This record gives sequence, C-alpha cells and structure tokens, in this order.
Amino acid sequence: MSSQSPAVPHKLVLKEGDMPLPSSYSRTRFSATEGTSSDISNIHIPALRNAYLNCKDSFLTFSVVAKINGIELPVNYANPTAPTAAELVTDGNLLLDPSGACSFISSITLLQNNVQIQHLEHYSKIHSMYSVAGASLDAGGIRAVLSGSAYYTGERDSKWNGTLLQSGTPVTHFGKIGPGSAKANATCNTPQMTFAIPLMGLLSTCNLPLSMLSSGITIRINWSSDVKNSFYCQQAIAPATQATIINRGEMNFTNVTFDAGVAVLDDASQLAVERENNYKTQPVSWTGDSYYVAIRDTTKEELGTATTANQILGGVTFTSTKSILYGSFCKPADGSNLEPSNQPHIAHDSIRYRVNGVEYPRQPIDTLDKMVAQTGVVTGSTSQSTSTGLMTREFTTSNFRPKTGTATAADIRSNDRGVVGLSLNNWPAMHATSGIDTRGGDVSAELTTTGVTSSADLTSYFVACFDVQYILEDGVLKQAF
Amino acid sequence: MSFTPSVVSDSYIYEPAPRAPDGPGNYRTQWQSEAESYQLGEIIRIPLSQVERGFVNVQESFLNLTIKDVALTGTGFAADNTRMSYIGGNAALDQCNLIAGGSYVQHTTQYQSIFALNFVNNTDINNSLGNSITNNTADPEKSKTAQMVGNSFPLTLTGTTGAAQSSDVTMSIPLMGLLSGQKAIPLGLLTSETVIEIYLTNDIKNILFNNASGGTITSGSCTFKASFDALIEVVSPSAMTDIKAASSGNNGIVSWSSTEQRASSNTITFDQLNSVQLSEAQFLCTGVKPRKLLSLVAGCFVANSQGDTDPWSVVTPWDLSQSGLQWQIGTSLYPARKIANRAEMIKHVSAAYNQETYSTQANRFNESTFVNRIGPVALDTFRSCCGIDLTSFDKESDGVDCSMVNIMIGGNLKTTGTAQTKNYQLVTVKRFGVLYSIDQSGTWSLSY
Repeated sequence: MSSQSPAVPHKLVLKEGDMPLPSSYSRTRFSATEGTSSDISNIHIPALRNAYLNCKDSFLTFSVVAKINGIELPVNYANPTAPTAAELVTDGNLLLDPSGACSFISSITLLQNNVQIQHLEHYSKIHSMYSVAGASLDAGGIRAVLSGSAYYTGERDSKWNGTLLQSGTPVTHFGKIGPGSAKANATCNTPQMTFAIPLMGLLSTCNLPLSMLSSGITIRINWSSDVKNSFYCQQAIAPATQATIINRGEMNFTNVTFDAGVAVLDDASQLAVERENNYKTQPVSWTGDSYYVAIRDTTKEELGTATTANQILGGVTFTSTKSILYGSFCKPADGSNLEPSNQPHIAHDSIRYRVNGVEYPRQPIDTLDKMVAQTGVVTGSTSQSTSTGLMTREFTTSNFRPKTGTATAADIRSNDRGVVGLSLNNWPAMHATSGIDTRGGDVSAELTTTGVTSSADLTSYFVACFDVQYILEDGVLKQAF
Repeated sequence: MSFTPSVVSDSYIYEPAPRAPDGPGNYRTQWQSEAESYQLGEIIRIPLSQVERGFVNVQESFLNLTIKDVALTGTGFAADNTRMSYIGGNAALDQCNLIAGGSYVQHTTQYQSIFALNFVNNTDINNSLGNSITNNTADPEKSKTAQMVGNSFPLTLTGTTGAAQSSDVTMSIPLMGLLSGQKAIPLGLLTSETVIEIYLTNDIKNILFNNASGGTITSGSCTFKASFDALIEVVSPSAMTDIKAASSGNNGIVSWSSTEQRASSNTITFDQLNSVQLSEAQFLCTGVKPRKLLSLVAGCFVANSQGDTDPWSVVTPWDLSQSGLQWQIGTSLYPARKIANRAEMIKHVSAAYNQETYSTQANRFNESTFVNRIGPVALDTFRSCCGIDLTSFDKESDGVDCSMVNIMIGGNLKTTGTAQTKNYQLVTVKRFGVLYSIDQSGTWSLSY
C-alpha cells in the first residue's frame, strides 16, 4: 500500500528524510609498507570491525622524484634567488606527460591473503584513454592540481600551457630543480611532485564492507620503470638547443598512501546492515566495471602502406563485454622525445570489430566525426548538450603519425589526442548488466590505413570494459565475470 | 500483510545490477537515404527498417551528413575566411520530420532557428570540443571560452570572386526531437513504414558566409550525402511480450509521454527596430496551441542576403535596459511584472533550460555579445534571446494549457544608434508535453 496520495505530485509532498545510521566517519591514510620504492608499493587495508571503505571518497596519494639523464634539461640555480639567463633558458624544457600522475603507474592489483581479486595491467593507458574520451575541459584546472595533468585557462594559442593544446606541465611548476642538476652532468633531478588521484576499478565507487572480510585487502602498485613514460621534452626550434632524454633514468616514490573515508557503524547498525543483506546466510554481491587491455604493435611499415590489418584481441572473453576503446601511443625512445608517450592518438583511418564473428558496427567507422560520435555512445554523451572529452577539431586527427627527428615551429603547437570507442552494450542508458557475451568467440579489430609514411612504430591499445560481479562469501572477496 | 521499511540506506545494501531484457542483442547499422546524393532544396528520405522485436535507440543514434562539391561565386574571397555557420551542419537542415504510416509524428520546421536557440542556451565550452568534430560547430580553438565564430570551410579560391570545395566535410549529428529522445522507438510494434524526412535548405548562404572584410557570396551550389547511424536493440519474443504487457494501457495501446519543440515566426521591420523613442510592439505567436506549454523562448534572425553574415546569429530585439518584455497567454501575464533588462532576460530564459542556479548554468552567453542588434561577425557571434519558464514544480509534466487562448509577446523596441537595413524574423520556440500512442493495429499517433 502506498502511503502517499497519487493525486499529489511528489515534489509537493513534504516529509522528513531518513536519519543516517549511527556511525562515526573518519579519514584514514593507509600507508605503503615500503618507505621509498622504485618498483612496487603495497598498501594494506585491514578488515576493520564494523567498518566500510567509502571508495568514492578515497584516493591514492604519492610523491615522486625523478633523476632524468639528458641534454638541455632544466638546471639547479647556483643562486636560488637570482638565476642567470643561461639557467632560465632551459626551465621549460622538461614536461610532465599531459595525462599527469597516472603515467607513473604500470599496474594496480588488489589482493586478499595474497590472492588476486582484480588486476589492471597498463593502468596508465586505461586512465589516459578514458580521460581523453570523457574528461571535461572546465575540470582541467582541478585535475591539474590533483594529478599534474594538462590544464586549460581559456587562452588562445599565445602560450604553450593553459591552452587547448593540453601541453604537459613543465616540471619547474612543481618546485625548484634539485641539486646536481647541471648541463655538465647531463642530469636533471626533478623537484618532488605530489599527487592525489582516484583509482579505477573496484576502488572507484563502491562502499567496500571491510567488516565482512575475513582478512584485509592489499593494493599493490607496480610503478613505471622508465622516465620517458612520464616525461617528454619541450622542443625548441633550433636543433642545437633541443632537449632530449637519453635513457630510462630513475624514479623514487615516497609517501604512498591510500587516503580513505571510513565509516564505522555502531553494533546495532551493523546488525541491521547484516540482516538487510542476509550476510550470515548468503553471499553479498554487487556489480562494477573492470578493464582489460589488448595490445598490438603497429609498425611504421604497416602505417606507411595502404592496408587493412586484422588483430585478434586475445583475452577479451567476458560474460558481459560492454565497450572497447582504441588508442595508439608513441613508444618511448631514447633520444627522441618530441611526443608524450602516455597520450592516445588515432593512427588508423578506419576501424571496425568482429565480435563472435559479427561485424560491429556493420559499416566501418571511417571518418573522424563518426569516431568521436561512437566514442560519445560509450561515455553516454552523444547529445550536443552533454558531449564531453578532450577531442577537438583542431587537435584531433585520424591517421596520426608521430614526430621524430628535428622539431619545427608547427610541432611546438600541436598536441594531438584521440580515441575511438565502440559500445557493445544493450540499452546503454539502463545501467544493467547488458554487454555481449564474448566467452565463446573471438573479438578481432579490423584496422585500415591509407598509407601515410611514419618514421616510428606505435603501440595500439584496446581497452575492453566489462561487467564484473563482486562476491563476498565467508569473508573472501572474489570477482566473477 | 505488514511492511516494515528498512533503516538501512542504499549505500549499505549490496545487490548486483539487473540484467537487460533478453534478446539476440544489438547491432549498429547505417540506414541509407533513398537517393545517393542531394542538392540544395531537395528532401532527404531515410526509411527505417521494420525490425521484428526491434527498437531503435535514438539516444545513441545520429545522422551522418556529408557536404561536398561546394562551388561559390561572390566578391572578396580570402584564404580561410569563408566560414560555416557556428551551428555547423545543422545550418543545412530546414526541417526534420518523422513520418509513420503517412502521418507526421514529428514535424519540426525552422530547424536551424530552434537548434541555434538551444545551442546558445544549453551547451557550454566543454561540449564545444566534441561538437566541433561531430557537428562542425564553432571550434573552441578559434574562439576563447567566451567567443564563438564558425569554422573555416575548406575551399580553393579562384581569384577573389570564386571558390570550390577542396575536401569533403563529414559530420555525425544527433537530431533534435524524437530522434534523440529518452525512449527507444519500438519498430517492432509498427505496421507501416516509418521515414525520416529532412528538408535541405535551398540557399548556400544559409550554411556559409564570407567573413572577409567587404566580402560577399552571391550564389553557390553543393551536394549532400546522408545516412542515419542507428543502434538497434532486438529483444527475445518473451521479453517483447513482457515489454508489451508492462507498457500497454487501455485496449492494448502503448503510450508514452515526452516533450517537443515547435517554432513560429513574426517579422519585425527595420523601421520598428530603428525607432528613436521607446516603441511598444506586440506580436501574436502563431502555430500550435498545446495543452501543456512548458516554456517559450524567442530570438531574432536576419537573412544573409549578402552572404556576409552568419544567418543563425540570434538576438533578442527588445531594449536591454527598458525591455518591458512580457508574454500574455489568454488573459494571464507572464511574468506578472514585466522583464525590465537583460539580466532578468537571462535569468528567465535560463530557467526554461533548467539552469536556475550558478552550478547548473551551461550556456554560451557573454557580456560583450549579449546585444540586441546583429552586426558583422568579425571574431565573435552576437547571441542573446529571451524566454519564460511556464512550469511550476515539474519541468516535464505541468505547464500552461493554451489550447483555447492566444499567446502574445510584447516589449519595447528602440534603436541602438546603428541603423538597421533588414527586417528581423522573430522566432518563438514552444516546448510542450506530448503523448505518443501506438494502437493494436500498429498505428502511431501524436497528441498534445
């Protein structure tokens, strides 16, 4: 029986809202067990009594200092208060990748008792591709503060930073270059850069019931091992003053924590929650998104020849595959850093998939406008008034080719970015488990180029997003898909 | 049976998402137009396939439109300065209709005017990035956050008096109205053919303008190609039975509510616009008289007869500091006290787009271009308008019954000092509630 009159519109019904469950809410920083690390950090979150981890309100924080070997890189001022003209000239030469802090993360793994719950390999690429597909321009300012990503101030092309170029931020914006950084040493010790970024996957939105776990969970972060994944060089026009990074360098990560919102219920409330979810008698289960990346080496020979290539996306075998995002990335190469390597591009002219042998879509996605519109279907922003993402007419092209060798004036202005999405979701607006079952068949990509010479290879990434069901049974958290 | 409500909030209730309706799944395809290509002034017809147990998910579908073989004559052509209207490919569409079984279920005339008003009121700089590719609307790189000017059209010049298109312009445009609505169209319930009908504009100057100083376009031609890029959902027979059972009301009729926009127009002569003293003018808003009128939005356009003006630049005609603007619906006045100035104009028209608060505002208005007369485009496009929200508590389902009364708009006109030489077309866009019904015989009808 309904308690309110159907004749009265709901907005005219005045009523009291529910009271929150009696609880305390606090912020807790779960620190990595390694003080400083250059490869792996582990953060252990214990199974706290009556506690719930509010993932929507939680984020990863870390600091990094990189030792970068190269030429024409920023230097340490001999006199910090009065730098010379020669010292200032290289200040803007070393840039953080436009995607910011995510570029430092190679993979993220969630474990319970050393058993894997979720693993996101190529995390930096997933994060970057979804940013290009769906991030908003006017949130760029706060994103830049939190993650060091490119920002936008509304300027036209009068400056390199703060424009629609979305150029990487000079490392000197984060502080003074460290001691030992000198042209004679061919070394630059970056200032300590600190970031706070939300994580994708299980830790993105759910209210994780720590109290129901038999043992805590561990967040394992595998850090990138090559500075060229995260840094590139601003190019001057004169080759003699062109900055480059010459090898993999070193990076040290410190202050690695998961800054979390934790609600602790009182005992009566905890009992009510357990009763509501039948926790004692049946598994607790909820739904989320996860990501899997398939990779293809796109050679310069292929890019330079008019051809159609087919690539089986091995491993994309899920009960509910919802979408696939495509993007090609420049390979980090010693001595050639004209392009950031964590920025996705559209290197092909046309793309189509075969899912279980059936063409998706029926006709290839063969123009830039179709590529962007199809990506809008994935992010739920097809309409003109809801479209988001960082792709724009001036700085997104299909048939992208990386720049190598000597820069030109035009190179300084360009910062191409683009991805191509394809939704496989039935009723995408319904928020149901409604992707395509790809367990019994192959997913293959059909990639066409019209043959424009390329001087470097690219790596193409295909991020499959799929529905997962998290199941918590007998205190053990599992992922089913 | 008693029911005890839970004290546990949704945040602490764990349950998996439901599964979507059963079925073979979805597919994307392009429904092709009946002719391979079209010229200015022709009508594109795109038949929708009658898919058994199929739905076209219009929220995720769009029109693929190509403009090619543009040939222009005029004066003063300069490199990169012949521009498409800031509303992009939408400038080519005079009408967009949906015909089912020989009857209109959507009839949108003056498509460009409605789109322009929606575009300046309901998109922001975030949207402009993607739109600049999909719709070829004004590129944010060429404009600052606050500025907006149409994109250069790719042309090869023949001296300064002729130009020919150098590369095709392709666009993927979500269509306004039913074809981008919230509800999937149940193709499987229809028994007669459904067709998208698009009237192409008959004058190239409605799409392009010469932005070079003193430049004009005198005539031109072009070719269009079109297809509808559709997401088709197909459900199983049992799921279809469930959907019908859940949706059918009286006598098995499937009905759903939505909203629609229609435009009507009046002429304001340049003599009226050039009035030295405040001059009160009132116009009858012609066209449909719906039972649930949700909002009225109005703006003026000027014909691009010389080919030197963006034809979809839109302005409010009323004086900006002594507007005296008010709508009369029957014997009631909206608002009760006249809108006095441009700040009040913006607040009222924002409410018509659900943008009452600072945190919900998302439009392209700007202090320097919210003016009441259209001038040369140069580096920015003039844009302003006026409007009134007629809903009270529910933006979708209440409103004013105007089925038996007239709608009037009135306000004060006064010259800005720059003499106008062309008449303005005052376009009023009505947004109103509609009811779509599909009866047991598969006939689709519309009422409002």
